[in-house]
Amino acid sequence: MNWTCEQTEARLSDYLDGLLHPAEQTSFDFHVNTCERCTPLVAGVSRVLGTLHTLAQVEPRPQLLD
Amino acid sequence: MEQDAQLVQQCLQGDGSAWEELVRRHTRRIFNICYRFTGNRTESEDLSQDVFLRVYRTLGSYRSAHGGFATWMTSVTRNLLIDHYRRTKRDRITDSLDDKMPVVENKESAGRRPDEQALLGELSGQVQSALTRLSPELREAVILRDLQQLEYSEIQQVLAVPEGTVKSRINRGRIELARILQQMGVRPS
Repeated sequence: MNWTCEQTEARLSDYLDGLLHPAEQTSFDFHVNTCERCTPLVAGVSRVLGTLHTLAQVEPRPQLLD
Repeated sequence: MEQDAQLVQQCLQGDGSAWEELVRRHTRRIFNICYRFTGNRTESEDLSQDVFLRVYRTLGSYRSAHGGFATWMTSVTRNLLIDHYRRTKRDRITDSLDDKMPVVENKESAGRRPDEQALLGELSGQVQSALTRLSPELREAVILRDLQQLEYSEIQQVLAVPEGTVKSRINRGRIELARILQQMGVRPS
């Protein structure tokens, strides 16, 4: 399968959420590992997602909880 | 019947303590959705109170058969946030953050070294700033999925759009957020 940069961008969340089929995953990985444009895109979005998942809950002021 | 639905029934029968319990159970979550969307603590507290007021007034229209109470309440919150966004569009300064007040975050902060906490606090502020630069459609999708950890089906219900639209907005929102942070010179580790 000839995987393109457009496909990488469109399916990036499926990749990050582990929703790609095995054949798609293989094509995705092969393309990203050899594409100068997609390598930083995937790495950057992965890092952002990791950061979002570790963001702490903001504590409201006690007055709101009274 | 889930506990929230039971509490709703008790509220509708005039049980004030059941309402207090509902408010107690959901205040932090609702406040956090508002805060991540607006980036402003005072606005988020006002909006959270508006949410509870509207929920209280419309409690009779909640049907547990149509979905969970938390999802229904999230829909009410989202609608108020969009109303608020439209109302304040003119006088909004896109890069203003909080009311310059320290933001207290409570997850896993205990046990971290002060320097680690400071770094996390700085990164959290930068991510919050980037979030508020996303379009409201992409912002709400990312908040619901990646900060509130809602399922796609729940987000579909809250936003009242097809699943394909939900997936597309989450994907575009994450990519756009990464680009904004890159433009800000922020590189999350």
